[in-house]
Amino acid sequence: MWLSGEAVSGVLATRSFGHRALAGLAASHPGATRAVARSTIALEFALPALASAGPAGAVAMVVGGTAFHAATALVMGLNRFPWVFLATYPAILHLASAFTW
Amino acid sequence: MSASTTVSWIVIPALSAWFVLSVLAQWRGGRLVERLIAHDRFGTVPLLTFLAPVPMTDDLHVLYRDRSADGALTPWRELDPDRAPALRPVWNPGLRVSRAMADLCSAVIGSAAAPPAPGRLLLLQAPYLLVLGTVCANPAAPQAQSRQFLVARTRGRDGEASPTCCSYRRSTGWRDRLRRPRRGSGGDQDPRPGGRGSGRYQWLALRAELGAGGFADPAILRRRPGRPRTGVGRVLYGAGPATAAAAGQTGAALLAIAYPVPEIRLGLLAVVLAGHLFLLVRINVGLDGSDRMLTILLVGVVCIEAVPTPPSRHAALWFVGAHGVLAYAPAGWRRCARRCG
Repeated sequence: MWLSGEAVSGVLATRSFGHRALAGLAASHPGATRAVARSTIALEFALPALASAGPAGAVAMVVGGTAFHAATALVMGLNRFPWVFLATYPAILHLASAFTW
Repeated sequence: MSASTTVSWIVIPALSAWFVLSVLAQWRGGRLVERLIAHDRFGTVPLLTFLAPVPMTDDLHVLYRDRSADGALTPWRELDPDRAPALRPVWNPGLRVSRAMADLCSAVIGSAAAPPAPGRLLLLQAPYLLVLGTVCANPAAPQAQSRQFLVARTRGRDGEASPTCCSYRRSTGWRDRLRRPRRGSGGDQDPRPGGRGSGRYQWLALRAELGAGGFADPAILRRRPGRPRTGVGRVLYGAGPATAAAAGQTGAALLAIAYPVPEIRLGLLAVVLAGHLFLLVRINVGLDGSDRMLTILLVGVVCIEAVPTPPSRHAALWFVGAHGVLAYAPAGWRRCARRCG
């Protein structure tokens, strides 16, 4: 469901978490929707790997994570997640300082 | 050995064990973990799914109408129809209510679809009573005598609505209400009230029986029959203490920012954590990953302040940071695994 992009277009079409304009775009561009869904999955796997790749990787992880949560807040209205998750990022940067290869 | 060092020896293993439990919980590792999650009233174990593996692609709508003594029906009205305010990326206080209602309605639908079993009467189950209490808390016309609600499901913004379950068996007219949420009468012509259709409807009496202190009062769920509500019950389920906890939490957080004096900061942060845990127990529906991650974050911060030894501080930072890293990969795995399964 996620790899095919159906989940993204389905969520965007809801009134609770969706976005009217993006839902229309997702319906008319299934290829792009599939790419967004797969990119999200790739990002979710990449973020922990980046966090354990030293300080530079952790900074990249912070940038990627911030973009991820900002996007879900803007599109889906999940506005509590950025506050809480971004608050953990200083600790992640501290943790990354231990992984200097 | 100093007191701080002794406490460090307690804090570090406790935070480590907590993190191990969080890792196991992401993959539901074992019966013991399942039991711990089932009794986790404080939301201490983060279950970070980010809508994986099966996201909610339907909207659930709660509609209700009233009937007066002479059988006249009001139009169907939708509970909380405006779910997407323009400023929702910044200010979206209705999200928790909306999510709670979605969770409760899903539970009601599941219970209604399940085969009847002794001792599992839908009308006495907590989700049904909570939806009922919310519906009955809305104002009614003076002449209204009974109220009826239904849960409908729509897919897509302009998709056809379908009924799922409700306090009725058979009805008409409510689809119009969902098609025209702002305008339109949505009036229902109940066929001969008291006649042909009445035996198939489950009309519910209004607030006298179903409101506060009545059959659908959520507090009744915590009260043993025949026993008066205890002081603990009043504190947990009264509106005043919850408001005081939220206000105290906010005030303490603002003070901790405005007056970062180490001597008082620990006390203020402890108030924030206590208020958060109290509200988690008090609300208990409509929670998501951000609530659970906030618990992790606040516990970590309180540990840093409470045990000011370098090993404890490092352990607390690792605790928070590792949970932050852990949040993403399990969700990605679930999205892929569902496809493979």
